[in-house]
Amino acid sequence: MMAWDDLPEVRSPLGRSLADLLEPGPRRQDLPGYDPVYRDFVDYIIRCTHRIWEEKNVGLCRSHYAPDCAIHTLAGPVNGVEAVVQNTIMTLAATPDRRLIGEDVIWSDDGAAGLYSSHRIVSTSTHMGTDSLLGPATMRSNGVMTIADCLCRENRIVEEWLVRDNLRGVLQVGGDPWTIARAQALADGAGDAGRHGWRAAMIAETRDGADTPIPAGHPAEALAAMLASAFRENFYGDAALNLSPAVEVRWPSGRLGVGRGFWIGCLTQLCAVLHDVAWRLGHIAARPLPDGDIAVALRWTLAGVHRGNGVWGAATGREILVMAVSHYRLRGGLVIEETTVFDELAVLRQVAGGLGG
Amino acid sequence: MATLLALACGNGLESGLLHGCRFSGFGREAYGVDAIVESFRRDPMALSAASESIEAAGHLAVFGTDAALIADVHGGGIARLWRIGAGPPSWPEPHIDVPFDPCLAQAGGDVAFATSDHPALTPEAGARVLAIGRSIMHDRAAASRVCVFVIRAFGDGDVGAALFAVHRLGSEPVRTAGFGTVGVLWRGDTLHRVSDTAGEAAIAAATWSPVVAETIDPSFPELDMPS
Repeated sequence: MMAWDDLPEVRSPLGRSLADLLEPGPRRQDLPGYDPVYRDFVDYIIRCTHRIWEEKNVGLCRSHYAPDCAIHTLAGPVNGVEAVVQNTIMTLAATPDRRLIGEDVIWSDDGAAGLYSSHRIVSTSTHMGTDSLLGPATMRSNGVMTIADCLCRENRIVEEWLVRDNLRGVLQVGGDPWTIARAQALADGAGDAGRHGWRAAMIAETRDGADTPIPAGHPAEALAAMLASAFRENFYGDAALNLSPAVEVRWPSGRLGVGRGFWIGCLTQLCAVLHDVAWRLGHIAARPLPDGDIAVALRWTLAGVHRGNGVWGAATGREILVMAVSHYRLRGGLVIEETTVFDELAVLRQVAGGLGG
Repeated sequence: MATLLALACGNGLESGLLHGCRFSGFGREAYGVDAIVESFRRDPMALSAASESIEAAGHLAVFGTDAALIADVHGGGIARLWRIGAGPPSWPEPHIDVPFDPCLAQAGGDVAFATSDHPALTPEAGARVLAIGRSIMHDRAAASRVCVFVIRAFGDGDVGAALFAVHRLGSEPVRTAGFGTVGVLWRGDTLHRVSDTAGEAAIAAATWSPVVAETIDPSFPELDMPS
């Protein structure tokens, strides 16, 4: 397995033009089993996303996802490449002018498991058709952050953890998130309850599973410790010392602010309503950025009992699961930009009694 | 400089924007070339070649009389852009507010400023940025609690520019709260300061909502996203 800062010629998309990103050319990285068109792993992620979504060659999913691929979302799993193809077509039919602006690809070589990418995307589009989440067409614009964590082997995504800021998208088109969440929860109550078993399993993994190991000296070490200190021990102030005093913070559903206090506010808004919290680190990655900055990606889950009145309404006593990915930009040892994404609409769906018991 | 002036006039072809550029202005954000150019076409800026400008490694700023653009530059392209100054009536995007303590200090604290965030800023200019930030914080004209954060700063003691995020907690019986921005360019002893009046108006108009509201007002205006 390579170190996080090996292969500096495999560059982040940050600060690069689209022409530079999509320029054809020879390989810059050894990629056995990958299509010759891809120059390196970052190019694989950026270019295949462009080909599938913007060039509308959705059928490429069949050569870029494993037939039995597993996609984990907070709204439930998506299994198999044909489901990926169908979901992509449905999304494109509702928002055909969708642009997927790749802000960063923070990746790691996970040895025999494969190459792992944490791809931060801003998806902008016009809501022109009926969408399963956004509802009937509104012709309003929307733009939300998505982070797709993909484990890849030989040109195919074999497993994916997808977090999308769906609540922000609903708010942008004038939708009522509680109406949507309650309707979803009602539908979840019908049929085979066993299909929601994944949620109980992920909560159990969050409560009982070990954190992913971090190599000594890896840039993720301090940031993982920061989140552990905040969520497990409630030392929010000490944890925030890893951030620049003027850090820019982006959290789901339009939470946008500056400073350590704002970051603490984002965490305490969750921890005030979720009691008996468990936090687990699922994956880490880091890559060099231009001018000596470092990008770090942490995938994590949070489980807690909804015992506090607050951001998600009156306490319900339900156990709630949050699956999130955080991206950090480090400069001089401090975080200057922090982006955390999770699907808060899927959290409301759980609060409303959905996604299983 | 030429690219920013072209963009200010709504010229997309010569805008120099990178495809992943993020734009902040009028209390909102927009992403991507199409959305940003569309924003400037809708509301062009009064900047000219005679405007004050400064360039440093990775940074660019242009200041007009009551408006300014501050940009991050990568490889000659604009990667991040802030528009400051007067603008059309603006409404914040529907969002969840975050209750938080901006100062983390008993008596208000100092300007939030880490010099390590700003490699294109000389130490002597750092002292100047701190002094400017304190002057914004203690501005008697602002009848509110103010916390100041240095987002961007570059230049030296003679010429430079800085972008401040300014959190205001209003002094009304039912307070307003939110972030605005202030841009400052200095050349010798002359300071040129531009405030984000459009963004601050948007904050004042916003309803504080630290919860997922039961009903959403569907009448909010179109966002600055491409269509």
